[in-house]
Amino acid sequence: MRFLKDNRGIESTEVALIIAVVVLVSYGAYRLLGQNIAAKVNDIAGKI
Amino acid sequence: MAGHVTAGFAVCVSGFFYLERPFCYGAKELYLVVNFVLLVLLFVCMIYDLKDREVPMPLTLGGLVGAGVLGLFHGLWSPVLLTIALTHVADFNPREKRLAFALTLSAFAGIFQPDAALLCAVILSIWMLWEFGIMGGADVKLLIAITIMIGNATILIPIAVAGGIQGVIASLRKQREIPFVVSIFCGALFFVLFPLI
Repeated sequence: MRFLKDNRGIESTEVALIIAVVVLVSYGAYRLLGQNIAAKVNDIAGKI
Repeated sequence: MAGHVTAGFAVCVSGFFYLERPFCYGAKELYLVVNFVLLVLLFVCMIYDLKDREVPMPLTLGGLVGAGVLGLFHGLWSPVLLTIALTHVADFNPREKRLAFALTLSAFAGIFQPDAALLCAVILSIWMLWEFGIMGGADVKLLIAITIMIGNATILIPIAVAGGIQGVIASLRKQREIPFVVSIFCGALFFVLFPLI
């Protein structure tokens, strides 16, 4: 149970910053493009 | 030790209270109880993280078990089973085998319960961060527990933002490492309180 026994609660500052940027960019892209992507997928599904 | 077990047990008990929802409580009251217990657990974990840079296993394990009970009650069986599976996959060797199993199991979890596919993808991503040594085990277990307990992956957005702010502050203070449970607690607190504001 290597996963359960790992109790480290520390992280490097760079990783925290990178994760924050990646999550924010992903969320922004989802907000901008999400509806368009869903419409395209539904369109393709309708044609199939 | 007794304190850790008590805190972990409190999360499990909250899960069982939630199971009794139709008989004893309204949904809103239990939602508040679960959120309160979650925040208490995270606060205790944060204190340990600030003090020792580690979170005792009974706390994180109790959180995972409580989240699993709640998740099953919410019908999120696929993310719960995926978490259990990934816990076992973590012991496989070599790494290629672990990654292959994790990806395959996550794909099946998403296929079998499409409504929870996003949660499964998020759990896999968080587990991968641990697998590659990017995040500590306590942080990862708490993040997975929160994601399943809340049942909404958007809780990770305020946590990530809080982590970014904490990272900037730590960089300005020339610190190389941060206790990430502080960000987890702050992000979860914001997520829980935001609808009330």
